[in-house]
Amino acid sequence: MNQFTSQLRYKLALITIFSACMSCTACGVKIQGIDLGRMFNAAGKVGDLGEKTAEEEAMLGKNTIRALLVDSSINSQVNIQRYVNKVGYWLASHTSRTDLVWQFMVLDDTAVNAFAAPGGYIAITTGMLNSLNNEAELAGVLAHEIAHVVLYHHMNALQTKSKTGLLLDLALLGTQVGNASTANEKGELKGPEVTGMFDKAVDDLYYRGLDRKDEYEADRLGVMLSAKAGYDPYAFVSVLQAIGSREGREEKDLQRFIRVHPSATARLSSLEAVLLVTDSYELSNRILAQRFINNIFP
Amino acid sequence: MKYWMTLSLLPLLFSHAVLAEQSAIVLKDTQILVAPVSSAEILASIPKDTQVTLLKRKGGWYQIETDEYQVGWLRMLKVRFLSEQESNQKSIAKILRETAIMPPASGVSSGVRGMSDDDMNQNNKQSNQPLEFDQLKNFIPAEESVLEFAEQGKLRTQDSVVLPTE
Repeated sequence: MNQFTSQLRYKLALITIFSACMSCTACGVKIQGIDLGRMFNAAGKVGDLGEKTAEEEAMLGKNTIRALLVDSSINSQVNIQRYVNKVGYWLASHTSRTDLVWQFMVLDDTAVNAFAAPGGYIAITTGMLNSLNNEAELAGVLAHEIAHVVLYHHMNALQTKSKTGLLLDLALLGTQVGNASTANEKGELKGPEVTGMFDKAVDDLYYRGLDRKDEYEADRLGVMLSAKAGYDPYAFVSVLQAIGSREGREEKDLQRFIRVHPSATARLSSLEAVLLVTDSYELSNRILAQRFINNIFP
Repeated sequence: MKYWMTLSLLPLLFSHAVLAEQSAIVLKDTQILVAPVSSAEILASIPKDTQVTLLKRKGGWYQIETDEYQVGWLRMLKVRFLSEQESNQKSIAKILRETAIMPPASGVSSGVRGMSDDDMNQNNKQSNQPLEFDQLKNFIPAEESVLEFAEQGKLRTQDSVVLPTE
């Protein structure tokens, strides 16, 4: 009877999700009747801002990460950097963005944080690494950031901010002028002014954080990406639950993370439907705790 | 014999995430099962707000222990981790209730490694200056080394999972 009840509940949940998806006009990939395209509005497309070339994306990303790293130091442990890059590249190889030159980096910062920039730049702090228990959890965090890049979240946000794509132009111009370290030929534009405007827009976005719906979307794609790469997708649930237990304590090292993300409770609720989907697969669910410890805490 | 018994236990060790002692609270009335599968026999029903200790995790399930019930399994999303402060408060309440001496709950676990930020920073101090941004490209792995890394970790692409962005 109880077995029957739980199976019935599972089927009802699937039917509910399926029904919700039937109402959408643009149906994409379907798994057991669940339209995943519905869960991912952007689905890897740049928003209504026109297609941008890979070169423009790379330029915007390079300027963004440059602005973000002004006050950061990159961890000097070569083995840790190599390890994080391998985990990141294994995950990224399962996305549609194998054209990108992904760059994963560990920053010396006790704050619990990880962030992405357009073009494939992913940073994770030593504070975040220290809060994790195994490679599957690391993969969950990196997969969330990779998802932001794949779904063009920061790129769209930065361009929306500029309304007309001005920010991208500033990024391009800023690099050119910045490289010259001088004004242009007509003397109309000073490098520091251009880069200053761009840096301010970047600082503003990363201080306030992305739209909350983008965070939920990156959570859902990140969990599926972890699963596809062979990791236990529930490891990311553990990460969120651990962070959730620290949210009310006003910890200095968690303030920035809390400011730019929805609450852990809301994020976990938002993941329920995707976890139902991953539950329906026979997955290998690798955790790799010992390899994580050997590489991060040798 | 012992050797073979140890070997037979290895898969179990690697398929579970071992948790340092972590207290949690049950979010709503739920059932604990004898095994981490929905079809498993029900061990007991536990009410909302029951405090449990998480022992280990397998997939989307936690093995839990309570004072009142036996060890059993419940879905991960059915619990919320207790903060260190909450754990201690509840422990104190329990001590008063039961007038027994109990060790304080360890609260939030930092995982199985038990390494502090200070330890980590200490490691960093042993090496050189922070890396320059341009040095990062040196860590981009060759495709073969990524595949080898995956192989070593027995990571296999799960073809059944289809990403919406594919």
